[in-house]
Amino acid sequence: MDTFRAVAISTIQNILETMFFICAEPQENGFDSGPGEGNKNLPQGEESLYVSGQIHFRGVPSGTLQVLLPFSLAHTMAQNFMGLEDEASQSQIRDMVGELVNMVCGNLLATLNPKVSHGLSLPETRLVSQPGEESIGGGEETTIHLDVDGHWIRMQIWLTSPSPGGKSAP
Amino acid sequence: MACNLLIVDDSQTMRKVIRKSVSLAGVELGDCYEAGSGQEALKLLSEHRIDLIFTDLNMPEMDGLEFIQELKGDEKLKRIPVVLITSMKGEPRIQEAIGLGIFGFIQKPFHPEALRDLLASK
Repeated sequence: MDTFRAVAISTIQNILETMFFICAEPQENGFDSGPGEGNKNLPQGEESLYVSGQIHFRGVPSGTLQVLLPFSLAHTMAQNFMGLEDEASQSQIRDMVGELVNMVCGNLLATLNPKVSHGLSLPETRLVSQPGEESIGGGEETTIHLDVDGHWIRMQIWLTSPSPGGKSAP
Repeated sequence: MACNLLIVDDSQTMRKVIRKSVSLAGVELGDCYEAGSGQEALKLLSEHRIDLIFTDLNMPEMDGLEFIQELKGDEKLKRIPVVLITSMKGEPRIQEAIGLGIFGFIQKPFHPEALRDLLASK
């Protein structure tokens, strides 16, 4: 496993454990299955949706980081994140996913190149009905799949300028 | 005496997390105010007595550094302790904020213990 990929995996694992109290394991072969067992408490329709969060970064490297996860898992994470006893609302869930990509991106860049500053965009989130593979405008792509107790999270990173040390992402 | 708190972050979920973490850190909370930007925060500061401020760095309209600069330039407000919370460890704006005399800096992700340790250290 190359360094970039290993750092990206350990970064998101640390954040998921510290702030969301969940344990995620990397899956080398991706996922063929659906999002995992849905949350019976969710309104009809929401259990089959996915939440996507995206953030752009400028510096060395520059690029885009995107996280996609099932709405049902995002719902559980939002409950954990805020310590809610009530149900998390859709806006809270999207906001939480935005905060997740912000934390992952900030920590990943700080670990890869601690002496170089980066500019981060404000995170954008959206609900999607089909978790198809995405490609965001060129650059080197790294895709990481994580298993969270039968659910999955996909993180994709596109680098449009070289990563530190002149190495390009895999 | 209970501590009146102001949390400045464009993420409503992060504001809830910070509030909960401050409470878990053992701070006796009085009134807790929330703002989604530096501008909103300055308005709240003009209306209420605030004892401690937590602020994010990346925010729309007025970011965390601009907010701190405004605060530190105000004779009535400049002594309120400010804790900066951000995911960007190497960000030069953090050093600028430290230079302006903020109380401390915490990197996300964090445990409530990190807040407790920071508040107890000074």
